[in-house]
Amino acid sequence: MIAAVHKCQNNSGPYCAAPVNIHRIDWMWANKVVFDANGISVPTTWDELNAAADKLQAAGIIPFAHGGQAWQDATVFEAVAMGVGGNNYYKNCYVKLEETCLRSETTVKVFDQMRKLKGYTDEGSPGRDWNVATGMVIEGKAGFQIMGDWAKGEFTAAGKSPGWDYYCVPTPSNNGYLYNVDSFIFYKTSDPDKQAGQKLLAKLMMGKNFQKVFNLYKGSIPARLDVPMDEFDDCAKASNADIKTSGAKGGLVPSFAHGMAQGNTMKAALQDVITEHFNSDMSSKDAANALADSVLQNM
Amino acid sequence: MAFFLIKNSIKNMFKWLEKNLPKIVLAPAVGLISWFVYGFVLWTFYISFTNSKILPRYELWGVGNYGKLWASHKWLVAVENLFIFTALFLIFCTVIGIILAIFLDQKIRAEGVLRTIYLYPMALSFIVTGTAWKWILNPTLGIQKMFIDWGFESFTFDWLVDREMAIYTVVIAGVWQSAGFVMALFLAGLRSVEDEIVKAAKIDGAGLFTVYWKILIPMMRPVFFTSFVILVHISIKSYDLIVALTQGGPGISTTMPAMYMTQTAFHKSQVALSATSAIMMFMAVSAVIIPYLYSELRRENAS
Repeated sequence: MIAAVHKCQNNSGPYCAAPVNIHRIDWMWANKVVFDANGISVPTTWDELNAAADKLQAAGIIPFAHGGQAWQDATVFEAVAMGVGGNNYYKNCYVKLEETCLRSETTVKVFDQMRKLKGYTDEGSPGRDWNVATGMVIEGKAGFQIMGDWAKGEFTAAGKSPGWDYYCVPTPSNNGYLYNVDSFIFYKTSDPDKQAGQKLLAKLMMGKNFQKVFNLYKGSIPARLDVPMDEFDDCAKASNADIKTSGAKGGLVPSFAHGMAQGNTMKAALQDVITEHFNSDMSSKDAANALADSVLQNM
Repeated sequence: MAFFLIKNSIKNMFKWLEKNLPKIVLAPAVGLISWFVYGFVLWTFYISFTNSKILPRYELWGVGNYGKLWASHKWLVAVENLFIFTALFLIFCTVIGIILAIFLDQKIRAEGVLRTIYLYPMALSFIVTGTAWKWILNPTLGIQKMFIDWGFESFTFDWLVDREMAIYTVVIAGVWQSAGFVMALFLAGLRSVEDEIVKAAKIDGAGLFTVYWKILIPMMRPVFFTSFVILVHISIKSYDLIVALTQGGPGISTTMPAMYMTQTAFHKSQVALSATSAIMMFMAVSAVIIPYLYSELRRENAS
């Protein structure tokens, strides 16, 4: 198992939780047909992504399908933060919550990129559900969406295949990998029968077969690294390979928008500022300061 | 002699029962309400003075939460939205309700059918109303798209996605739901006026408009009172309408106190701060209901 996942399950004591999967947040889902028709190749930097979006906008297609809900704004923000700011920036700001990092010029650049992305969304975006936005990409009404790996289920249900109908690529970053782990927590009990039951459940959950079947349905990848990936689709295989290379290069960062890096209070404090900035014409500098203020207020 | 005593005591027992049976029957209900409603209100009041985060804690902490609440930007937006929504909701519901009631009072043919149609929205839950209006007001799906398809290329009606105007869409949906209820209240009030008064006014030469404006509407004071109290308390409590229509968005521009309270407790894991906002809402509702109850009881005692 990856060291980071391991640590969050036991925190230097006996194990208290069993991880069932690893979700990757920083995916970009793009309609390959639309991209090919407009001569766009998969962007590997944020500048290339902006250029691709400009091309799509000129051709009359909505570049960025986005659901205007607070948690979706935060999901896009953390992918941008990791990509534009870098892995260490992300860890300092959103895991360690350092004030100087939050007020820095890098944060301003992150908000600038968010402002640019806002310009690529359509009018009906506020309030839209995430799967409706995925539907827009599937139908070719929009170019791409930034969403976690659960969006893959929508494509699969619509009968689309990766590489043929759609691209599943990580958003541009430097070997970054935003992860979120779903686990079952086991509460302390002194009843020996219940303890035996807990141990059995944990053993079953960590078994290779359970991990494989569960994740085939859920769209994430197994928390165990030694599960054979033959039955998984290309996106999942890529994710599984990426997590090993990312881990080796220090690019594994916990998602704050999905409750991995921060608790609910801090997540909400960050999310409120992010969604306010996205839905108003707040300047990036003001937003960076508001972000730091919000974090300090909720310390 | 003993038989006489027993008969007397049984009679006394029955008399006692007759006097006290209503109280006995009501006692369980009163007990449950006292505990679950008023007891829990007191619990919330207590919690607002603690430092509870994700689960309640019972050590007293101080009045810090009240300061934190009023320093919170989101709460101030919520309170401002509450004032705007309540004022417009009250005015429009009452005006539209009165006009519909006056029209229906004219002894028209299809009165029963029309009355039902106008009252029907009240039967929907706010979630249904919110969702339907969300689709109708969405610029890419609803009214704006319809007009553009009909050929009015530059027609815009994007209030729902505009931060400044989104609260007014909430007013539209809320008024659509509740105007029928106000209409029903006023229709009942108008119908309860004795015919003699209207006949007397007509004999004196008053036209229809004057009859309504100068005589009947002033007689509707109790109905105004009732509808005011009910509408204000619906407005302060409104949560499901906001959730279904805008989710507090775009950004946080349509958030309201009830939504702030729920999100703070369950999404932000700050139970004490949420309890504080609940007490604020309780005080706002009390400020409306208590004077009303007082004036009603005083009138009862006077008569």
